[in-house]
Amino acid sequence: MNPFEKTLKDIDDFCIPNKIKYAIIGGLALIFHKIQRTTNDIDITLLIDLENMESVSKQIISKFKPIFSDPIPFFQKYFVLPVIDEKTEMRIDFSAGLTGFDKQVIERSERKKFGSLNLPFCTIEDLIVYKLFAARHRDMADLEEIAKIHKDKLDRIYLNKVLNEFSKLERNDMISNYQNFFL
Amino acid sequence: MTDKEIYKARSKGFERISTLQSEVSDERFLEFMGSIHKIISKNKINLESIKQEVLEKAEIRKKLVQLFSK
Repeated sequence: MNPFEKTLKDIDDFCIPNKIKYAIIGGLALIFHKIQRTTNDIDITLLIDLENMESVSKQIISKFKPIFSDPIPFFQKYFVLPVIDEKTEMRIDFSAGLTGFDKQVIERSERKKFGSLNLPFCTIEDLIVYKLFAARHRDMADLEEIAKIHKDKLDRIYLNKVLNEFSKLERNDMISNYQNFFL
Repeated sequence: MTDKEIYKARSKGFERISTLQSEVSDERFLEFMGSIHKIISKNKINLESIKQEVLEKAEIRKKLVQLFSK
């Protein structure tokens, strides 16, 4: 197993017994969806509620080393918890999947084969939405690559529905960027 | 708390992570200086062994910085 696989196994071995549903998002999900890309870390979104954030963050830091000295208040304030897997020295960013869309992403993710493991990767449509939302230069470049490979096989009905929901959050730019890359 | 507020807070969180990665906090600097002090105390005036141990520590630090940099 390479360090990515080992770290992913550690994450899975942590989440399953603790009954925490999760999905792999970010650069690694891009690689899973056949986009050539480098990544230094692993992005995970966890299905949790505001009420159990403290207990989940305590569980996380009992298994992984937090980057910040005040990880629990940081997680409660910013909903993201960066840690290191000390066995592999790999960085993991755990995000609290608190929004309706995050929960949907986790529920829609399916366990798929990745190396020797079966892991819950987010769907390509949900990855597109995350990229449209983040909208940094790097995300735009990723969207261009996604379009090259997946443009003709996307669930457009789902994408239109989700992007319409985001337009209610004053994010009409997401629809226009989507149209630029995928129509 | 609304979804919009959650997204906003999370964006700020990622921003903080990316800006802090390139810096060494006061706490970590003091921890590093503390380790230098220990090395010097242990090795007395043996300059070569002090140099060797400091270089090893610096190498570890360099690797950590590389690891934390996106």
